[in-house]
Amino acid sequence: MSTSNAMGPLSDGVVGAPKTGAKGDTLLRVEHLTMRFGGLIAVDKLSFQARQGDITALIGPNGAGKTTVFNCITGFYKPSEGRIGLAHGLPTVWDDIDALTDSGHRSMTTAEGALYLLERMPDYQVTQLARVARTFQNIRLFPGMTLLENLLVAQHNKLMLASGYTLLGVFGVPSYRRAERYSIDKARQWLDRVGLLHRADDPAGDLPYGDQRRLEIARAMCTDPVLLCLDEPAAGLNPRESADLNELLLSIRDDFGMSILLIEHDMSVVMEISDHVIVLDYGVKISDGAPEEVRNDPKVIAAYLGVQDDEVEKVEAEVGL
Amino acid sequence: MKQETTVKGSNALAAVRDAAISALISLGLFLPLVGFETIVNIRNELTLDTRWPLLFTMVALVFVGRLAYSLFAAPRLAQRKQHAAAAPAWLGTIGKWFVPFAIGFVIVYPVLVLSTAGFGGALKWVDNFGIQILIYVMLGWGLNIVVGLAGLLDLGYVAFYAVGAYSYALLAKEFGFSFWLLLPLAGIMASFWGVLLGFPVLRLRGDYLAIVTLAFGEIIRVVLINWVDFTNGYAGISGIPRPTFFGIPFTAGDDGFAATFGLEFSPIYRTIFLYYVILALAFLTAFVTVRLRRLPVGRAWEALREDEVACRSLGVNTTNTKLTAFSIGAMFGGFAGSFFAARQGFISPESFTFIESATIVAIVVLGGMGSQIGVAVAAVVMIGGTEIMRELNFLRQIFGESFDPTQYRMLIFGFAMVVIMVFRPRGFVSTRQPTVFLKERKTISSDLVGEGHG
Repeated sequence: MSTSNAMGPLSDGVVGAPKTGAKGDTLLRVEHLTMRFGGLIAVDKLSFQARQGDITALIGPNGAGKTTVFNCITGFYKPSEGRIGLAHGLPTVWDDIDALTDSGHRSMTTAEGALYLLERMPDYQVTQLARVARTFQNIRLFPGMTLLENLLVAQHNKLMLASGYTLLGVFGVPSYRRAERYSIDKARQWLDRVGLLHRADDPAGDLPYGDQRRLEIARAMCTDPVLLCLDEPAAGLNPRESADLNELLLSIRDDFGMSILLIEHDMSVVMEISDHVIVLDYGVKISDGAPEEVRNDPKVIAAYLGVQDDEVEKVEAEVGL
Repeated sequence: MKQETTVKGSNALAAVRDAAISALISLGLFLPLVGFETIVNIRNELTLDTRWPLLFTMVALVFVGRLAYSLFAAPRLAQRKQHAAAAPAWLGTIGKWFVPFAIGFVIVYPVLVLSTAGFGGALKWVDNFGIQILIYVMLGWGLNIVVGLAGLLDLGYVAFYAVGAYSYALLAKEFGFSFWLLLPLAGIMASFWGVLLGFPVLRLRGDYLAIVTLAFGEIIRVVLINWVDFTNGYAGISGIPRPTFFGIPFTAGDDGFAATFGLEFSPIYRTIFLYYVILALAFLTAFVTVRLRRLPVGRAWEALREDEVACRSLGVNTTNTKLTAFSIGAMFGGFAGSFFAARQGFISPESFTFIESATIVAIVVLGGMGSQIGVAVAAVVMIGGTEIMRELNFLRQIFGESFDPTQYRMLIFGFAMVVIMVFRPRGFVSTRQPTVFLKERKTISSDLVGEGHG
């Protein structure tokens, strides 16, 4: 009982998991997002929303601008135009978004929750404050550090605070030791969840590819996110690993009420697990809706087959669809 | 059987060609360096002389040496590489006892030297070997934070050493503050300059970072030379107050250390005292570094070395993380600098040239980036080796009276570096110890550990 009390301040409040809205509330709102690289328009006036507790998939052919959208949301790119809003807490915070935009601030906190304008925040703050975690298309683990260390780096800000920005930590104060134990415990739980607990003390670079993917997801989850962005999590996985991944993502959604935004090429993953699909082609949204709707949209089929809209039926007939 | 001989024949041919290329390269190198000699004749004119026999002897030596290496040594080495996959068990036993033994040794070292070499001979051994090496161990450990842990290649580390030294020298001379007050002050000063350097170079990576830090080191030195009013320029600062033993000076007078404790006056007491001061400082550096590695900040440094983009995606403020590495590394450089000024009693910009930075970087790289033990061993080998060169007087009997072994210091230095890099490309101790573990601490192979890209 006493230990759970001691850990209380870590698990909620400022440093722990942030307030989240109810399932179905709008969590992320992307409006007129445009990204230009010189003369090239990678993303053109894209608008979409992601809801709390949903798995939202962003799909499209190669070069459609999916990863660019991701990089804009997570702060790695500064969008040329547009607004990316993210809400913590009650949906009423959205009423203040225009006021926040005009005020020139990055975020605002009210009694009902908080609102963040991600396009104004540097990449690390998007994770630290707005609680958007991400993974990468080409896995980016810390290969020379153990699995456990990888997951502890993900809890950096929380531990930094607990160590009194290093000053108290150098002297090994008990409150820091407690915080570290709590973080190790959290890491242990996530390792267990992704089935890698037996390899906790091995370097991450030694893991097989599929395990590295799962570890990267566990690491992102250790940052206590409200939105988890996965860039092609099924790339390079065999059908079995892909099925395991589906299961993991669904369990993260259902057990934690986590909202997931994912880019995916693998249609079996997209159609099976997503609640909401957005299709991009040449930086423009061509379809938006439930998986079944999107699957039957002629525009989507045309984009994937690489033909004009009016030729779809002809091509479908040729390939026997 | 026949096939084997043809393989051997082609091997020999390749070896000869290889040796010929090496000889050609050395000819090109040695032609201006050895082939020509400038001599001042009796009328004080500079004349150009040639030394063809010496040149060709050297080229021939390179040819023969290279040929022998590729014919005999190289195949054997390749063979040994295949067998030496697993480290022998006795290496692990040595590893376990090495650190306590080394710590014990450095603590009793002055006593050991005193009892073997006597009062007269001990001075040189404690000063030239003990203190000198420990200064570099400390500098190596300080730079190890920046280069080894955070993976930021800093070629201007000597600048912080200089800031520490000049802070102590100027403040002690102007205001008469004591060593113990100025030591932390010098550290803070150097740390401040570390942050100052850190800010503009944060966006640079790899080679670009190295170049800019190198330039910073040179700027500090040039400022020290040219700001004559403040630093006394090339002439340097002399008569810097020496540290006292808790207020008791190490002088021959009545209130001196020797007289107070009823001992016969000898300069050795001061030297031994300084030895223990730098030893304590070095231990402090090691202790703090070990502690920091296990804290979030240290883990963030290593994560930064492994992958900076991933760090930012996890909410780590990489700007602050780099700045802390720069400032803490610089702080230890500053401590070492102020100790250096106090020990020498005289400093000038000559002591803070680029070659010092290069030596410290070489110590860190040879020792194995990130490894405390490796860096200490490398410092002993590199600095101790240079000092040993001065002692090799018997070489004069072989090569003649005019032979000065210290002149060949850099040559041997370079040679040793090449040898170590060939056999241990990631340094003496290239493995990494995890900072935290659930069940057991497993050593991580160097193949997986990143080297950092700035």
